[in-house]
Amino acid sequence: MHRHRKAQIAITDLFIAIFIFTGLIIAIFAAWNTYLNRLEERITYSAMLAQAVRISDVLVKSQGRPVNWEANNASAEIIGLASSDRNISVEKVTAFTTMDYNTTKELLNIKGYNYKLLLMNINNSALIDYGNNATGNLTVAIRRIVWYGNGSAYMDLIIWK
Amino acid sequence: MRFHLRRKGIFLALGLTLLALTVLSLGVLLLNYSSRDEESITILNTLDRMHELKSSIDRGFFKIFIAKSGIEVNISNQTIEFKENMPNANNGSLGNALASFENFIENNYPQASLDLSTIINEVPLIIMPYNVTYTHKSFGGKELQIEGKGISGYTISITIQENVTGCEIEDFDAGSTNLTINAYGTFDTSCTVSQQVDPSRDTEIEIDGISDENISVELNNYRMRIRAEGETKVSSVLKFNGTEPLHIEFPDSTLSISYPDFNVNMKTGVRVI
Amino acid sequence: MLKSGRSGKSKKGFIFSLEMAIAVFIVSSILLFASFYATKQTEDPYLRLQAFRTAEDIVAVLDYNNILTTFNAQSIQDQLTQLLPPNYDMKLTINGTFSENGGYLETNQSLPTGTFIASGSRIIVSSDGNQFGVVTYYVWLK
Repeated sequence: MHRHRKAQIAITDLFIAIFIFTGLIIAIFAAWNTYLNRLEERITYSAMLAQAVRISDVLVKSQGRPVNWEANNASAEIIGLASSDRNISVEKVTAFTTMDYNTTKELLNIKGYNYKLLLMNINNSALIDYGNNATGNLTVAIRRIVWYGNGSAYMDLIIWK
Repeated sequence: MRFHLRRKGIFLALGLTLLALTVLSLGVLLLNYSSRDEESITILNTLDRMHELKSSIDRGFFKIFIAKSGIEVNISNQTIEFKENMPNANNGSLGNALASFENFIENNYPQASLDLSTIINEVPLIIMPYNVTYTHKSFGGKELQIEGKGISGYTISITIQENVTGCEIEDFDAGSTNLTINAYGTFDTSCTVSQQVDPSRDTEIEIDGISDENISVELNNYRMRIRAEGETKVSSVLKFNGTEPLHIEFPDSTLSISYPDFNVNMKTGVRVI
Repeated sequence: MLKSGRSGKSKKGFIFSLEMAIAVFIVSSILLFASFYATKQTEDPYLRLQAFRTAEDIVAVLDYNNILTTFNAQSIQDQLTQLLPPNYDMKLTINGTFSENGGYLETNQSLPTGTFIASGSRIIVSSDGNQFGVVTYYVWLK
């Protein structure tokens, strides 16, 4: 009789303990998984947005290298679309749109992602539309205001994965 | 046995606590990552502000130069032309505008400092990417100088207040650099002479009908000197053989921008055109 | 012994559950703390960088368009309204050596409170090279 009472108490206690223990383990692993996913997403998103800002800076502020790369696309080492700070060159844009997409990706240093570049007038009608439409599940976009042709324009750079 | 069970319980609690602490560290890592983002944004912003300040200073110098210098500059592909009167009557207004601009910048931007003493005195214009200098012995004075290698052709046109009866390029060594002299005088008098010369050697240019003291043009060791005593219009067209577009800068070390808190410094020339 | 054995059995069970309760309490507290850290992120700093870029771009384009050196607050305001993306608002002030308005002008907007405002400045020079100004811009998300 003494043994039976011991055994009943032990099993009840054990089940309660296992139940609570399992719950705790699940909670811990769920939290771990959530935070890890959040961290990964955050790292990827920040990296993409940082890259979008840097690339758009080069496009709108720099003439590229060599500065007259548009005379011979094959000579381009760095693509810049500006004739001067935020003053976009029609010739450079025209040359850019004739280049191969993968080549431009390499020259713009867009590694592991895809992109689309849009140049629009102030009324949002497209002047230039180059690149691949975003079909991934992570997209960042940055809008720059520039001088193009005879007036102000928007240049949108969309990077997606 | 009681004691044994209690120890098991302690180990269980400890084990679970350790696991939970691992999760906590991941949360802290997430927060730290955000902080590192903030730091790199701050550095990016500082560099960006530096670029913006330099860019707006460049534009300011461009506007002052165009409005006040009395030097007309035309760039077309690999050819650049400078046109100005000698002596240049704008030396006072250019000097004052540049000095005022320097004060304005330094008063409003303590992180920026300018050294314009040589620029105000000589107005040296550096033709990039060739590093050829178009400058003045003293701006507003009687002599201008063109110095540097890489020029494939010089065309110097001088308009003077006397009759021109002829011109010659003499005592020169033959070379691959084209030198053309055009002289225009009163009563529609003019002359033109052209030779292929070696600019590293002495080349004498003679313009007849006027005294040597009034106009002298010399080319020696890649330096051309044009000296004019009286009122003269000078056009200097320089040709280059490269492909990179030409632009004009003031010398290096004109502008310094410094953000000591971020250990970021820049010392640079100023792009004028 | 039997008495203590009986009370010993209950106490054994109580102690084991007690250990588990303590473990649950500690782990739950730590998880809550971790959750607090993980969610306590500041506003995305790259969005602030984007606000800066927008403001810089607009002021640079207004400068190239020679709108700023008209020193006319209404013209500047009109151009600013045209260029500004719909999710931003922006204020400009110009302080300088120009003669209009005693060398100071500002656009209409008021600076908001309780929200991040990016600001910067740019130097402008009039086309005759005689007048200088510092344009200070403030931009924020609506």
